[in-house]
Amino acid sequence: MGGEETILKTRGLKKRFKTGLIRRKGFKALDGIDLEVGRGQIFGLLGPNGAGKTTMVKILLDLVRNFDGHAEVFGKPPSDPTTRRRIGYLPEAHRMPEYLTGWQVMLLFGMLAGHPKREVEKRAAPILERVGMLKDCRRKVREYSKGMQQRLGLAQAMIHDPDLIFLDEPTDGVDPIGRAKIREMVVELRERGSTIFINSHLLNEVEMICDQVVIIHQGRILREGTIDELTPRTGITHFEIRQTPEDLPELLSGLGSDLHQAGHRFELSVSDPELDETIDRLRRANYTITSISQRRLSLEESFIDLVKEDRQ
Amino acid sequence: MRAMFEDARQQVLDNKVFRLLLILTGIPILFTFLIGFREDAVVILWGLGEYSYSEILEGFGGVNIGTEEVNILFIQFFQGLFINVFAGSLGMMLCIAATAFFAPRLLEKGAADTVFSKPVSRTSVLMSRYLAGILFVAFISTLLVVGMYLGFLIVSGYSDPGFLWGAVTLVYLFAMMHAFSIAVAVWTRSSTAAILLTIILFMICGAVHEGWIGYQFIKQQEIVTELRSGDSDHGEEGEEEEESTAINTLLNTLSVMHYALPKTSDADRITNKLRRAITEKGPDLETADGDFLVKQGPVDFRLLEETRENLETTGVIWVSDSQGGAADGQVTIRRYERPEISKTILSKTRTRLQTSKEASKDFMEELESKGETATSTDQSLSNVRMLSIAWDPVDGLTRNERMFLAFNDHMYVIEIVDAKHPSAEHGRNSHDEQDSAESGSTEQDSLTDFRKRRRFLGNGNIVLGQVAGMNPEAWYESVFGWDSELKYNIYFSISTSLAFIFLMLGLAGWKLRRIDF
Repeated sequence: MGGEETILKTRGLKKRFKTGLIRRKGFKALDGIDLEVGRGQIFGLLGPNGAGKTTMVKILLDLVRNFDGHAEVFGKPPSDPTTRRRIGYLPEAHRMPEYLTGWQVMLLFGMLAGHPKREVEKRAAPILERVGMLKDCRRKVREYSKGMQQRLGLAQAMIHDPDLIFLDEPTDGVDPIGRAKIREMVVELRERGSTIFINSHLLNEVEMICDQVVIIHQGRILREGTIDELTPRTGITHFEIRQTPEDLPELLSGLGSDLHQAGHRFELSVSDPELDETIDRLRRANYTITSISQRRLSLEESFIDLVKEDRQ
Repeated sequence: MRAMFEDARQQVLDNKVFRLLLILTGIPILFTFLIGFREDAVVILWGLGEYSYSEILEGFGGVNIGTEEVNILFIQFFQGLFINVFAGSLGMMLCIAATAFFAPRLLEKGAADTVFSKPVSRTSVLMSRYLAGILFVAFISTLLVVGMYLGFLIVSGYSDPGFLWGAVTLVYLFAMMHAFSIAVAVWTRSSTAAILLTIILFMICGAVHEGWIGYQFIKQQEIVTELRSGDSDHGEEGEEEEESTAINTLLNTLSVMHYALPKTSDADRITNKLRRAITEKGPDLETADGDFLVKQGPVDFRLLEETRENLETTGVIWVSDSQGGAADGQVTIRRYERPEISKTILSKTRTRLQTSKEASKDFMEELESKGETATSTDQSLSNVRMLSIAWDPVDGLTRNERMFLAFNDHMYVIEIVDAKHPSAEHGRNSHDEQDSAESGSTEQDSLTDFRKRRRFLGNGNIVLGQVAGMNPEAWYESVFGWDSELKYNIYFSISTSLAFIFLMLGLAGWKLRRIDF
């Protein structure tokens, strides 16, 4: 799986959280995860709530300890602090220190990442500019909207120019323009050679940018692959024509099945020879075809099907 | 580490309790700059108002405070009030409240993830939080103590460098409480729990320590009773009294808690010891067996150095600083081994040591044989019975008093001889000089002076062995020292408190390393 160099690898990763006074009770968060992520990928980790996505990321960051199985990042165990020099992390529902300004947050986390203050000061401004926070960076975090805090969180994750970035729900609370900007940045980071590991519920976004996706449920991997592999064709073809046909059922009678029309658009399940015949009939009836596309299963549909199937 | 300090600094500066503390710190500093305690009067707003000490004391029912340096007494009272009472209790609680959220906030979900995802060790983050709290209190207490010191120096002309140790005391005290607060914060991840439990511990520590001192004092008092009576059998009988099991358990628990908990109450006592080491000269007289110590001789008197070693012969002598020297006044302290006295009752002979009553009776008889008229009064020195014989010799030149005090194996004899008509010039006390020069040396003045001489017997100026003291506080103050036995030893107190700090930080670190964020 993945690129030339393996950035992170897990084998049989298991984690059970113990609860209760005598630590007898508990629940299984991960149940044998095998994963390998290569350099320069945007890797999507999908799963319903409680699937174990965040636990997995936290194990790789040494935030969660005492796990079973094997995990390594940059060829070293997560407990090795040097690995975290090369990792950026935007946690889900993060809380940046509200008594600091955006600028001070950047300095704090840059310095915690092991960089001298002067160097962090040089890096902070361009990153804040990229996330659109430069003009507000002298305001205190408590004055920021959720979207602004999210953008600041993303900026701090990039302050030390990491090779691997974990983004847990990166577009949570961000408006559509902000989301588009974050997507752009993620793609840009990949182009620079960074590996981005995304946990998200917004499957259409994952579909838009991820190279590889893993779907996990109840701590186990259900499916992994590229977006194309996870979104197979449905056999349904989608047509758009300039006019709104009123005689479509008659015109296409005997061709394919499951005809659904909505104004000047319609869908039809057809084989390849039937597709040619459909086009011919439309052209003969003087309809102008503006678009023909093969409909694929969306990532969301694929995800829901997989999870439902696993639950059954 | 530097980043975490900077973060803590910003967190403190943003904190409302810190701002409140700054305002509260400013009040005593302002007080020292606005009110001056001069030798003769209290000056308000650099001369806007002036009140003599007698006027002020009149307001308190004309209480006699038994010293000539009233301004110093006032200054030291306010120093104690602001540093030990306000800063050491109320201020300490505010400091606990202001810093208790340092660790829990850091450990909150969403905050801890971000910090610990960076290449920093959990232990170093914890230590930086602990040290940041210490620095916070060090800043506040240094501001308070140095500010007050400068205020008293500039406005009242009073300099006491030992007072600056007060800042160290507050930091030391806070270091103990903050370690506990950090441990609670890590284990519970709750600011509220950290504040509440730390304040409760602070109060428990004070209560346990003071309770333990009281208990030790009572035990020592039994020995005092024995010494007072001069009959060793009494003490043994007292010890034979059986205490109930419940009380024993309670007292044992108290002792265990005392040794286990940090000695918060010792903090200001340690400071006092350090303070005295800087500002006070050694005692005028201290016996090798530790039974008898005189911190300072009488006011306007000086010790004759050559008599320092004569305690068991001709006595240690202080003479008046005035022109007349010994002729104007002399105080002598000497001691001798109490002779054994045998008595036969119903054909049984019992031997015991001479009591102060017997010694004074012998002396009275001696005076009467010389034709002197003397009066005897029963007094006490540091809770030990003392018999005083006062007489005015027939030559009419002096006023004399001799006191007998039986303590351990020795009889102590303190003699004050004061001229009824001393020379006018006194060396030490300027306003006394003026008064004396204006009114002349009347007999009334001489009586007043005589009373002043006697004051060196009070105010804890004379310490009797390990059982002196009029209350547990004074007693503990006298036995608590750098070379005292282990349970009263300052090093022991400091090391057990430090052990508590390390234990708390160790527990916090241990737990923090095991938290799954």
